[in-house]
Formats: sequence, C-alpha cells, structure tokens
Amino acid sequence: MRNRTKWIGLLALVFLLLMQVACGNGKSGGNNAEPGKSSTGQSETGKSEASEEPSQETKQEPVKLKLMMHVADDTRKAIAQMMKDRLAEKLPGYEVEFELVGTATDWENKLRTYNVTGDLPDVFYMAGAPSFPIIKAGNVIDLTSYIQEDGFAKKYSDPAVLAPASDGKMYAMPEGFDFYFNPRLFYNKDIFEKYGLDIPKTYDELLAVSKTLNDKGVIPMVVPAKDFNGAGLFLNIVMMMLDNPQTVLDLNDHKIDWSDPKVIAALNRVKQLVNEKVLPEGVVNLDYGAAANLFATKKAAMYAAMTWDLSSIEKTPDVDFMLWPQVNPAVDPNSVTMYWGAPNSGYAVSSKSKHIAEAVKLAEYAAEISSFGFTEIGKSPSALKTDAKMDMSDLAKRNLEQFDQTTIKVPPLALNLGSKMFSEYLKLSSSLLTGQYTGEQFAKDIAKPWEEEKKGSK
Amino acid sequence: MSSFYNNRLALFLFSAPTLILFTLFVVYPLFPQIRISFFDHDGINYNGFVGLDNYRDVLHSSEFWHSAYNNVKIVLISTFVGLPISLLLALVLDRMSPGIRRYFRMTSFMPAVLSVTVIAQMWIAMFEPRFGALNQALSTVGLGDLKRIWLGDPETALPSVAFAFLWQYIGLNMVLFYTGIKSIPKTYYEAALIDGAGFFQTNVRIVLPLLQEVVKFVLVISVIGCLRQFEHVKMMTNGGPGSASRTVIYELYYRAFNMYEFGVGSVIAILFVVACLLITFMINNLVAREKMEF
Repeated sequence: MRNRTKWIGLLALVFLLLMQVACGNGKSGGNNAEPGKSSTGQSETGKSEASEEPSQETKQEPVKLKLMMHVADDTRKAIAQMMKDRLAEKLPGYEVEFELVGTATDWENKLRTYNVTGDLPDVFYMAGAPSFPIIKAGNVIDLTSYIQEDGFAKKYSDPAVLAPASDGKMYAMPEGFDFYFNPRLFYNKDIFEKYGLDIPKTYDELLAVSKTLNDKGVIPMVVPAKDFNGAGLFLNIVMMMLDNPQTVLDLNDHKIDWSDPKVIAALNRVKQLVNEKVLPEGVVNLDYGAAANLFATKKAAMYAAMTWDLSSIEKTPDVDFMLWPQVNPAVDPNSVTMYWGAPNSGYAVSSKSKHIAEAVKLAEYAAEISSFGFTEIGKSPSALKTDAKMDMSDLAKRNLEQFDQTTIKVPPLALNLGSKMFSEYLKLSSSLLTGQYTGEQFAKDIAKPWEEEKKGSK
Repeated sequence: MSSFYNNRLALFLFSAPTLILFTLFVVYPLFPQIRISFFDHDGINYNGFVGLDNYRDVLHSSEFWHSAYNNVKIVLISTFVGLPISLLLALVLDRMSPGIRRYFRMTSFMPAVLSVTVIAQMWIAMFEPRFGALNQALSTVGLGDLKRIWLGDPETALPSVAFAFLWQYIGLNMVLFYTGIKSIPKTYYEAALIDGAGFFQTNVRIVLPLLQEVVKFVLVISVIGCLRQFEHVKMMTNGGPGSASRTVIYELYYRAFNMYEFGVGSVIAILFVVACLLITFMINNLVAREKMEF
C-alpha cells in the first residue's frame, strides 16, 4: 500500500513537472495580439486586464514588424544601415526587427525554409526562383491595389518596372534599379599596361591574353561561383548572347531547348574558359568575397561581375570595364546586354503578417530607401524616383551610357526559371566550371526538369 | 525503500519524463514523415496520393545512390582510418608524462568543440589551390605533382571534406579511448610487466580486448556521425562540384528544400533512419559480442 502511494505521488510529481515545462511560456501569448488590441504591452509591462485605459496604451504601442534584407555587398550593407537610421523619421511608431542575410545561398535557403515553415517575415526581399513557391503557397499579398490607392505607383518613372507576374498580380515592390544592372567584364588597367597587353576584342584574343597573364603569374579572370553562381546567373547567358541574342530570347520563351547547338556551344565556351585557364583552378569553389578580393588586390586581371558591385569595384585604383569579347562577328558586343530585373523582384509582404497595411508601408519604405541608396552610394540610376543626388562617377556614367546604347537587352534567363529547374540549372552550371563537364552532358542532364518546366510546373 | 527503487515500475517512472519528451519530439515526427512519403507534397500542400512513386523515384535515382556511396566513402575515411589513429594516439597519450598528457588532451579536444563553420573555413583556406597551405607545402617539399584543386575537382572534393571531418573528431575519439584505457585496472599492466610483455603485446593482448565496449560505442557514434554528415559538405563544397560531394542528408535537403519535393525528401529520411537502425544493430551484434568484465 505504501509503495502504491509512493508511485502515485511520484507519477503526479512527474506530470506536474511536465505541465510546468510545457506551460512555462504561456505568458508570451501576447505576441500574437492584433494591433489596437495589444496584449503584448500587458505582458511586457506586467499590467493585466485590470488596466483602466487600455485604448490609450495600445495607441502608444509601436507596430512591431520584421524585415528581411539580402545584403551581399557593401552597398546593400550601407542601405540597410540607412534604413535603420531613417526609420524613426519616416515611419514613426514602427519598431522593425531587421534580419540581414549575407550570401545569395543563405538568402535563398532562408526564404525556402521560412516559406515551408510559414514563418516568413512581415516584409522580405524576394526575387527569381525562390519567389515562385512563395507565390504558389499564397504566402504573399498582391500589392497592386495598395500602391495604386496610396499613390506609390506614381513614383515609378517607367511603368515597365511594375510589370506584373504571369497571373497579372504584383507580388513585390520593385526597387527600380534592378533593370539597370548588367554583367560587366571589369579589368585592372595597370596590369594590362604593365605587361603591354591590349584589351581583348574577340574571344580568341581573350584566350591569348589569358595565356600571357598566366605566364606572368596573374589570374586572368575571376567570377564568383560558389555562393553566387556566376556561371549560371550570367556567364552562360552572356556566352549565348554574344553568339546570338535570339538564342536567349528563344530559350526564355521555351521556343528552343538546351540541346540546341547554339546553347551547347555557349555552355562549352564556359567550360573552355576553365580548360584554357582563363578562369582560375578551383573557380567552382570561389566565393563572392574571394573573387572580389582577388581582383581588388590585383591578383586577378579581369573580374566578371554584375554592376551592382560597381561602387565597390571602382574603389580599386586603375579599374575600367571592357566590352565582352566578340564571339560572333555578326553580333556587336556594344549592341547587346543582359538586364537583371524580373517580375516578383523586390520587397514582398507576407500574407500572414498581422499588420498588412503597415507592412505595405514598410515595403514601400524599403524599396524607396534601396532606390535612394543605390543612386547615392551605388551610383546607379533608378526608375523609382527619390530625392537622391545622382552623383555618378565617370565609370558609372560610361556604364549607363553603354547600357543605354544597347539595342538588344536579353532577360536574366535564370531568374525566370522555376524552383526545380533553377536548382538543377545552377547545379549543372557549377559542374561546367570544373572543366570536366560538357555542354552536351549539360543538355542531357537538364532535359527532364526542362520538360517539367515547359509543362508549367514552377 | 530499497525495494521501491529496485522495482521496474519505479525505474520506468524515473525515466518517464525523458521517454515522453523523446517520444514527442523524436518518435512522433517520424509518423507524419511516413504519411508524406506517399504523397506529392511541396512542403505546404498535399498535391495528391502517389502510392509508392516517391520510393521508386528515390530507389531509381542515380543521385541518391551516388550520395549513399559518398556516405560510405566518408565512413571508410573517417571511421576506418580515423578510429585506429585515435586509438593509437590514446595509447601513446597514456604513456606520456602528466603535464604533456594534459596539454594534448585539451588541445586535441578543441576542434570538436569548435563550430563547423570555423573548421570549414579553415580547411577551405588550406585546400585553396593557388594560395592554400596544402598545395604550397606540397610544392615546398618537392611533391608538386600531388597538387590538386582539392575542393573544385569532383574526384577530390569528397575525400577532402571527409578529411576535414576526420580531423575535427580525431581528438574527441582519442579522449574517449583514453578514458576507456584509464578505466582498466593497473593490476593487469603490472601482471603483463612481470610476464615481460612490451608495449605492443600489452596493448594487443590486454588493452584492446578490455576496451571493446568503448570501441563499440565510438564506432557507433562515428558511423552514425558520418552517415548524417551535412554541415561540412554544405559549408565546404555546397554538395558540388555539381553533385560530386553530396551525402544522403544533403540530397534529402536538396530534394525537399530546393526542389520542393517533400514527399521524396521524406522517403530519403525514412530510408536513412532504417539504414541507421540496421547499422547500429549490426555493430552491436557483430562487434565485441563477448562481454568482458573487470
């Protein structure tokens, strides 16, 4: 009998302990409260329902939101700081928790995970393939009516920037400058002068110049490849574009396949850049920062990069950009370029946000500050009008002039691919950079996800 | 009172909190996984029952078998190369003076407590083909022919990652072996000394047989640790080049979170759990079957 009493007592104790553990966080339930009905303040201040003037208290409660930004480069980091600094002035009554995500891989992984777990921040930056499953899951709101009603849409100088997604809805607040980003081949002028080298005008000249640079112990060209898949995101497309821009347009419209001889030839040119040591050994494992650093420290002569890095790149003395070396005599490299912006790129608002209207305002604020920052710091033009002073450097001016000169602007093919296709495409693009994987193999391995993509399963 | 504590029910009650939490957070989540494995699931929505299609997809996937093969390679490198080295180091450590022993015990344990990010970044720098210490060292000692693009070549990427993993845990395993060695009564060593046994004979005939339970334990945690390898691969090669260094868990992650094929990911998870259980069962039944007490 005594034993039985002990067991029952012990059992009760165990359950009490478990209950204590399980209910230990019960007080934090107020975090889910609606604005204006806030119970958050009660738990924080220790006040309860007995409070005499709950409505006055809630009016003073700041709106708590979370904003996730992608800050892969110095310009974005500076913009993030600008957003924090100006928040109190521009959006009084907002308390924003900033989540700054570094590399493209981390940003993608976070978006994918948040999307699946349903924990997307109130406002977040999205673009390209990761946006499709977020839209499909209904985790973002259509911003069209919001920006029309509050007049924010009028701030865009070019309505083309507000191009909706394929379903006619607009899921992200464009920053306005994406469109002007393009892949450039930057080079260290002093290295070319030191070794008496001319700027390569053709692809063959590029191979010859690279051989000389290698003989001198200088890495001819770097491209970020590990965390930012430079091959997949622009180099493959540039190689297609230089041969025939129509190839990119047709592939983007699903009019041709990856087995098209022109596509395979372009992919093999990327492989050749590795085999001919234009790109350094182990380039497939070269991080964004490492690639930039090799160029800035003059260990590499050329740097294939997107122009959002221009403000950082031009800090290195004696830097300029060259036109991409001509591949096909019929295509003038001065007439073609690849733009970056795509529908669904910009700041999106989570449909699960408890403060949708406030989150839309925050998304507008984020887009506006980004546009301002990229114009002031990044020296980049933007279609989203702000009071930023366009104090462009000589290099930035020439970049813009050349961009405006181009008569054919091909889309960022990779950004328009669905999730499955995008993942496989990047994986195989990384294989190309080993120099052991051919365009033919690429075409064969991509065939299955490509067929699924064409059937419309993004 | 003593009868109460010796009672099986009392033991059950004492372990109940842990068992309940284990069931809730480890066993229970497996059941939804099993359900998802029979559906086309994108992580959010069930898009229809597909029967055994996901299982067929995984079992016919060359990528899955390639990643499983990679896991086997990591086990071979990290366990069957790493564990003998750890054991040897533990035996040598046992013969060192207390001061030196304390120093090595502490320093060799450090990599195991460091973040994988730190370890991965360190080895990425070491393996860097142009400026990395490894290739530089090979050139310096006249072995320039052995220089490789360690993490950028499909042939060497996985062994390089496995080596970094081995390096991180070699000290931890050494400490575990050393603890086992210290638990062997000194009288056995004294008897061996009187019988004229040397270092080799003492270790082979006395230490190793009496250490078998520790060996079994270290073997299980090492093999399972190698099978669930993900962090080093993710940090050092991102599974690449291409998919050259993917492990099963990386493949699971890729199919679920990159391709949004959570049904397929669940199948891989289930196969992985089954494989781990089988391997643990085999090690427990095939290694050190005869229990030695001292």
